[in-house]
Amino acid sequence: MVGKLIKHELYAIFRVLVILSAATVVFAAAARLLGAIGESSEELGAVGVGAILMSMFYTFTVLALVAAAWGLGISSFYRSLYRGEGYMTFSLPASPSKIVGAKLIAAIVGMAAASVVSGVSVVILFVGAGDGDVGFAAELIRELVSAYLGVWESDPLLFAERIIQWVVGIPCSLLVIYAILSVGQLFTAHRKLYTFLLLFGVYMAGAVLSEFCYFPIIEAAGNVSVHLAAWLGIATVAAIDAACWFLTVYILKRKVNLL
Amino acid sequence: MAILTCKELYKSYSKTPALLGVDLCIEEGGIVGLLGPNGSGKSTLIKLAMGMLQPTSGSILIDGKPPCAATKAITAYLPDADFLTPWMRVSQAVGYSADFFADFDRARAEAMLERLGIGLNQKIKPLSKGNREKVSLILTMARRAKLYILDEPIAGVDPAARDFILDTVMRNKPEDATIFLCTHLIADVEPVLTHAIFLNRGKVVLDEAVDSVRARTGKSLDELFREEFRW
Repeated sequence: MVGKLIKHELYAIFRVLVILSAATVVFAAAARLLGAIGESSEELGAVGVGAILMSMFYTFTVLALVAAAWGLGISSFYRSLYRGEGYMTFSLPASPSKIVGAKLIAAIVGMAAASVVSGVSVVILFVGAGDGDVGFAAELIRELVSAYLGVWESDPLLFAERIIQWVVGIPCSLLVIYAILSVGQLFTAHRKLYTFLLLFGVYMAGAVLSEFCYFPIIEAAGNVSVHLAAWLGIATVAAIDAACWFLTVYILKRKVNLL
Repeated sequence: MAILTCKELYKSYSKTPALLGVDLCIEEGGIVGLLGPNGSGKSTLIKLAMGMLQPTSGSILIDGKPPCAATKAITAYLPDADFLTPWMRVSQAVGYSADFFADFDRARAEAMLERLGIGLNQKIKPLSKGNREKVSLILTMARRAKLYILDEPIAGVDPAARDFILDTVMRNKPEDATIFLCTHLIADVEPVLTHAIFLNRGKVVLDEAVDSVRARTGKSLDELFREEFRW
């Protein structure tokens, strides 16, 4: 059942992402090609203008791709559970946890795919290019990779802890949104307003708690041991993931209010 | 065994009561009409049966179980809202139902669509309201379910479409299945009903076999409804 749910969710997301991904790659290639041709000319001719236009289109499409991957993951959850399509979703012989799990997995896969395509498009944009901005970007990437590889060489445990932190953090933002949307639908009137206020309130509270509680604790733990700080970070994010997951599933099981 | 049971079922939306102590026991087989004016609690009762709402108190059971994945596997539900995914084609909607419901008869669904002249390759979004309702009905009635719950299936469509819908329901109903038909258009559905439940302001005011009602009162359901729910 979960496989079928994921299959349909992925189709719903990728029917949009495939088009944006193709456009991103095409514009990146076009910008690179026209840029390479234009570099040989001293004046900004039609080719140069074309390169600038393609670069602009590339920028728009890559931003649209990332935004769409994020937006589709959230709208798929909201529309198919708390809007008209919810009548179909709630008719399915599947438990709420399977439905939410399938949507979460599909959303993460969509976001990962968008990241990969964005990365590939950046490579296309800079392949075979000279120094200057390209060199700066390449140097930045080399430094980032070296920092992580350096950690791996000096402290493999810390490297593993950073990977675990990254993995645990992937679903966090989606699960928080899912929980907020689920709490928002408990209201029988002015749902969108209350959901927006909840969203604002949760993120404000999160920012304040991070500034005055979380970061000082992590810093203090880091003074004792970097591994303690890393595991505190992992535990905090994992707890947020679990709380949002259980809240969302509980509301879908017991408190859904499909009007 | 009772296919649908309600015991002292209450449901309120904030302070507004929708159902007030509903007690029902619907046996398997037959076509049950859940009848009442707008706002009487019909759709609320149906959504509670499908687990789309939760009772304030009391219980509702489908085939002896509270609404869950197992009861949804045996219940085919046609809501009064448009539940089709707009970007899908008709074939994708058919495939979706076939994927999730083991009792979905794909060949039957395609035959019914062909009879209506609705192409499988058509997109759902541009379909007319009437055609979308027909597609929704076909997806529901193509299942071999134990219980069919149809919420206002003939509201908002022309008389010819109403005849088609009722004809489709009667032709495709398995012999031992129960149809729970919720509507306020009594005259249209009365000929097909075997049992009637009148709901008024959240309370059950009639729960009787149609033949028994006629024999007892000498009136049709439509006449009785007009008397009961006179303004």
